[in-house]
Amino acid sequence: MHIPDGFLNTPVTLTTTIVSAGVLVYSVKRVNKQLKPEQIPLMGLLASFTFMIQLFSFPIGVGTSVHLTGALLISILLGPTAGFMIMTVSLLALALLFQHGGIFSLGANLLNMAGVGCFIAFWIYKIIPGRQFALIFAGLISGVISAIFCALELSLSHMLELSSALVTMILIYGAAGLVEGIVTLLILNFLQRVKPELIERAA
Amino acid sequence: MTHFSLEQYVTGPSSIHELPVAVKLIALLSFLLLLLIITPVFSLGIRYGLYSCWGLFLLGITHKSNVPLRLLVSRSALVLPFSGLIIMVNLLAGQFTLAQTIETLIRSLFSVFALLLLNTTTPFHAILKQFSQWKFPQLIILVLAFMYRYFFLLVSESQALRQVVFMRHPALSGWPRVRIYANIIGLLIIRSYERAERVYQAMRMRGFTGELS
Repeated sequence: MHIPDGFLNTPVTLTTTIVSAGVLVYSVKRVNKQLKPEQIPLMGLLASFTFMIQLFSFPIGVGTSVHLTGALLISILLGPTAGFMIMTVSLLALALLFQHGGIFSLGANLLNMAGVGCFIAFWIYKIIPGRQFALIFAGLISGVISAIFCALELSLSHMLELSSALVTMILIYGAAGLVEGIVTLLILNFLQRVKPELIERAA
Repeated sequence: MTHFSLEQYVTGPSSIHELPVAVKLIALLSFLLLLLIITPVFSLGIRYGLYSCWGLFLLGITHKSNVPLRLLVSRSALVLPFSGLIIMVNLLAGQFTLAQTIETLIRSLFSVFALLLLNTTTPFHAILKQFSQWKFPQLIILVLAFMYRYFFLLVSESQALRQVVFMRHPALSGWPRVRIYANIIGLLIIRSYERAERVYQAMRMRGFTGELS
């Protein structure tokens, strides 16, 4: 869920923007150091890919459907710092061109989706042995953490009462995270069967 | 797709289209700053006065830019599902007053409206060029440019793949659909890698040496 402009108050906007900007500067530095020139178009294409992936909706019952962010998948393929940079570009373009999210809320959205999906989910996936379980668990936990972040940002801006909204948000985001984990697993399995060198290059 | 209808207005002509991109970007940021950070500081009466000023300002720019107001309003409404959700949760819990609801809606609608005004009067490549003059990280600008270039292609490719899947399995639903969707996404990743390789070879052919300049 992308928070639009107008929902966050000044302290929350400032804090999230500063934190996200810090992570972005770190990511760009890391990527610049490790980047091979042939990866520049690849990053652009994967940025369009994370954009496009949102057109695939997966039903989770009770009339709602969720879409992937692609953050976990991209981080597994290219590493978390490149993943964060790609997600930044993708979220910036969504806000600039498609009225999804906002400019002043970009920092918060980056934290909730790219920060959690590229770093936290990725590290959970790395730490836990066994790809199948690790991916599903990483998806679920990152969904829950996103929900907590989002609920905190909104409640600190006096937009939500934390106690009344937290459970609902954890349920929705948790389900979305679970779907993200499961579908990411299916995608990686497909890649393994059809083009295993992509997975090997990543590992 | 409906998204692309925005681009049809970027060539203008109008006095707003002809403004330097830097002026428009700074104006947008200042507007958001005034609307989101400065305005909420004041007391209720002054706030509503200020909101009316911002509304009139946006209407004035729209009028000068020759972009149809209806298009901008209908596209701004895209933020309503999110706003609606938050407001519903709050109304159910009984924490939001009507005044707060209206103010939040005004702020989010006005911000989106201002962004749309930028989009419909400024080509995306001009914005990127300005970012580059402002010394944004070159890597981010390049990735943004590639993303913009290939997004439409990827979307039409994914629509074509979905079409062939639908013809093969007209009544696809539930778990089989999830599996096949994952396969489509996987195939799109592979094609992205392959296309990136071809794009890179063509860049080398034109003299790209790996320098970000």
